[in-house]
Amino acid sequence: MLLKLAWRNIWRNKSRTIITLVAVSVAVILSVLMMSAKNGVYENMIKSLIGDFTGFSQVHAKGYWDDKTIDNSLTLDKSILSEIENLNLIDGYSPRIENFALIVSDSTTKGAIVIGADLDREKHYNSLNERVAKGEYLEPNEQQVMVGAGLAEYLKVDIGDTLVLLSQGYHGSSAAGKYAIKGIVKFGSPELSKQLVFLPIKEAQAFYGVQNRCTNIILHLGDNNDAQLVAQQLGSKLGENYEVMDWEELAPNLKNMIATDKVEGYVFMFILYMVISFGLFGTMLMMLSERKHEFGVLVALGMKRLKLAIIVWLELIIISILGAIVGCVIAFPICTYFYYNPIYFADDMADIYEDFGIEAMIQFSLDPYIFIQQGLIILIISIVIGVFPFIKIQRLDAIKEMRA
Amino acid sequence: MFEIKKIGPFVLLFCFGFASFAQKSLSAKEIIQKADEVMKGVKSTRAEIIITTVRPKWSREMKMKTWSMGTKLSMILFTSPVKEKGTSFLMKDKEVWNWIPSIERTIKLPPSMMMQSFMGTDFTNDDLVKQSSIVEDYDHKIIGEATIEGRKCYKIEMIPHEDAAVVWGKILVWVSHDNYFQLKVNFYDEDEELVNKMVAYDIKKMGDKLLPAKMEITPMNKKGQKTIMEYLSIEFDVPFKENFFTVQNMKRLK
Amino acid sequence: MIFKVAWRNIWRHKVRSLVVIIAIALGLWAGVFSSAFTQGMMNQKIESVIRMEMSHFQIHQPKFRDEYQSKLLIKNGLSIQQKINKEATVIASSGRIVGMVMLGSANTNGSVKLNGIIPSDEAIVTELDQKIIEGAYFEGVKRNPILISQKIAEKYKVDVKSKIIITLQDINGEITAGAFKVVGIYNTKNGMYDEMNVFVKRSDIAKLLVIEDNVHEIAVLLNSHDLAEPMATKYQNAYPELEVLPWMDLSTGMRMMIEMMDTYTLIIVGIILIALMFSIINTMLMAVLERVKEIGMLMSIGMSKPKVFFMILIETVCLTFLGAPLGLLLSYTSITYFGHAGINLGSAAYQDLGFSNIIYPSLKYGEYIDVSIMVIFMAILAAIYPAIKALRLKPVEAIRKI
Repeated sequence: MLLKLAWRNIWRNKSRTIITLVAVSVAVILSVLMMSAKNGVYENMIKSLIGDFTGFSQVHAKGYWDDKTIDNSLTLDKSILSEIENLNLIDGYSPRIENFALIVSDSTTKGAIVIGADLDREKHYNSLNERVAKGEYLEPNEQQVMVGAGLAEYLKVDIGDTLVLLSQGYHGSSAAGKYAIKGIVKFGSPELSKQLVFLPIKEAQAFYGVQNRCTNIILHLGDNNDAQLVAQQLGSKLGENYEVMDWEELAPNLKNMIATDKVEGYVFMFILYMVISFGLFGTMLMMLSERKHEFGVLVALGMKRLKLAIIVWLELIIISILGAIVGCVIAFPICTYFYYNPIYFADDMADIYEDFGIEAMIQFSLDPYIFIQQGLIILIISIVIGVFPFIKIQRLDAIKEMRA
Repeated sequence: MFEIKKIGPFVLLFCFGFASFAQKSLSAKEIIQKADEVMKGVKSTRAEIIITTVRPKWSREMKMKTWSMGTKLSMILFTSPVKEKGTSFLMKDKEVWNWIPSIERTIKLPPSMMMQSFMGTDFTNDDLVKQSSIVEDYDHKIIGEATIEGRKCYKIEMIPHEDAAVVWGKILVWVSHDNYFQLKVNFYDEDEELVNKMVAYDIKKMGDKLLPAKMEITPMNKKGQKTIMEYLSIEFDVPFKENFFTVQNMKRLK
Repeated sequence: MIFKVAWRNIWRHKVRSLVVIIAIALGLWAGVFSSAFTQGMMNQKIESVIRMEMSHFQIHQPKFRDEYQSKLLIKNGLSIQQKINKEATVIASSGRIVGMVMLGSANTNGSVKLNGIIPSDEAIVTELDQKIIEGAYFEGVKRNPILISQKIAEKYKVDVKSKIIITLQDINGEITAGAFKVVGIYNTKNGMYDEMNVFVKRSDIAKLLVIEDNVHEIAVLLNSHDLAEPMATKYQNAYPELEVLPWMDLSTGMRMMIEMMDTYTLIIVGIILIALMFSIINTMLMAVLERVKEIGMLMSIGMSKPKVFFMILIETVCLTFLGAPLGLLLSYTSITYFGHAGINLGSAAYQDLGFSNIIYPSLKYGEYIDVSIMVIFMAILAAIYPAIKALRLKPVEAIRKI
């Protein structure tokens, strides 16, 4: 009954309703945009620094991450692979053998990380082939290598030169091989370019003396936000002999950095909420003073103050809900636009970003959580502010207001 | 990483520390000195050794031939397993060369590789050439007697000098009265906690000398891990051709 | 005339005026405080990078920072350092021998970055002596003292007075080792830094490396952050064969962070301004709706449309000029207060990064003015729409409704 009255009231004075509705939805739009841009920056950072190389989630043999040796590798048998394939959240996987090796060129020697990569999968999921800056992408059955650009520069080698790789293989065996350089790869992060060498996984298995084994399986997820979920689900399925890690475990420093940034962001969100809250408060206050006469009349006519207060509050809640929905509906296409058309930085700043291995752009996030969260927060703020008219009506001096 | 590597000098002692018979009433330092000096009398050796690396889940046996002349020249040739067969090392002073037949290359190990594992064992490449003195770097004291494998032993405590580049807080060595065999060596950290244990046993006549043919090193903080060295044969004072200890000769070793 | 009417209007509707005044004051405060907070955040990071790690600028041989090869000493390093120390703007400099070495205890070994320093210089430049949590700062151990971090002490299971062996390549590429004794344990709260760095006396490590008293690295502390770049450029020009870099180019990502923060502040202030604009538009719009009759009256007694328009505009301007000083006062008080007390962001987020979790907002006076101008401009802009709306509502018809 009260709801019906409230609903009718809302449509009685459309322009007033619209102003309040706009106030709420603008608040939602702003806070969603701010959150979306911010989370987009994180997502971009994580994607640039983790996604292309480390992967959002990895499977290892238990203990590998603490002691990264070939001895802690795992067998690529069907039972694991089918568990991985059976999990809907996972689009695909690419196995790798990673180990430290000494790279010897004619002029010098340097330690590097040699990665045995499943070239077809790396191409498909990570576009590794697009990183080839010079020469060509490896074929799966070749006995050649691709070298990081920074490493090639340090070793003073080029396409066609031969490198000797020395390392320790499985169960203490020695690993030695010489390979011609087929390609030079460039990564966003100079750190990676300085220390990576790629071998076809088959050749790497022969090099390290392991058959059908790998050290880590990179999982490619449908949605990168599922990393933690995947780690949990797959972890419990694979059991004790394996460890499934999400990116937060794989790159704890980045996680700390983002966590710090988020806390700092809360301060800004708090300030924004204050401005928004006052904007809403002001709007309601105005509405209240405008309707004082009307309320006075109603009370004088015998309407119970409590009933009236509830109706007004309900009006506010309905408007707020509508406002929150409208806000989300308007914010969504804006976010979507900036998701597909990220804001790119100007040249000099772009260079700085790219030196650090991050794509120089702000790409908004489309995480539905943001919309729900911000919509709810603003809704709650406006409902709480709505208590003010509620109290005001309780104390209304009907006679005085009627005369005014 | 490789906990045992700091035991280098003691391994050398094991290999060559079979001294002449003990004289009476030697000081602790003299006992160790005797053991250390004897090898300098041996001009050259030729031996066959098996090194077994034991890990909780696997173990690996490697057979090798070794040649040495004086203290500064030596060579190692791996004869098994198949994967390592033909691989050889030449140690000259502080430098190490490695011949790898599978890629037909001789590599002079760069300093960065010296601290890495020697062929996947618990020794580092640096152990092959490390020269640190168990006589000069420690204060020695006889702290008792004990019987190990039926042999009377001096129990000697060795405390490294302040400035010695030695990680141990204390070392206890059991040296047999006869022949100066190092039958047992315990390595402690600075909190007196046992870190590594080394035992030598299976004493028999090899070449023309009596010596322990087997030695085991066990790191205490790593369960199920140890290294075993065993002499299959050893000959002393063998003659070598002039250019035997050369990089060129590494490929021709048999 | 219009001004007078507008002014009177403001005092007639106290509640409405107060709402707008507070909205403007709050918006101004939000903008100013956000800027001050960002500045505080930047300062705290810059401060910790400069004070703890990088100093204001550093000199090396080019390529030295790639592999820390011990032969890449700065030629005449000590005389360059003397020259630097004579500059009026230089507080102190630290000449270091730096190398990647193997650190060994009975329990484990691994590689770390060894810094050979002169303790008294380092104490001024990086305040290393302030970070000792156990033992003492190069006191109490005569021969080969070494300062290690808490993380390293735990990893290698060593304590104050424990012995640690350092194995390194000397200048000729030969491997040598030396015994060092732990003199103290430090903690900078920056996990990555602590995991990597140990400190010994420069003369001790020079002996081990077989080099004359010379340095790989000169870190210079200036009396002002702003001088870092010009001074680095000056010395780069003076010594073209060396590499002279200011702190923002020494620390990976630092320059990016600075740029990012600037953009970020701009976005945040922008969003806050939009929020402010909408709260003013809404309030004024409500006010206009409420006053349809009144405005109709004014128009029917002969007030022209532009006059009504300007009246509403002037009302807003007046309110803005009442609200702005209030906002500035609020900003100044809060920034001054938090600038001393600090804003504690809790410890969870700052794990292991070496930054303090207390932020001290600060703002240059010029920026108060910048933000104020933006807010005032925005407020006036926000008044235009309600003013237009007021005219469109056909106020003359409105009075007839009574």
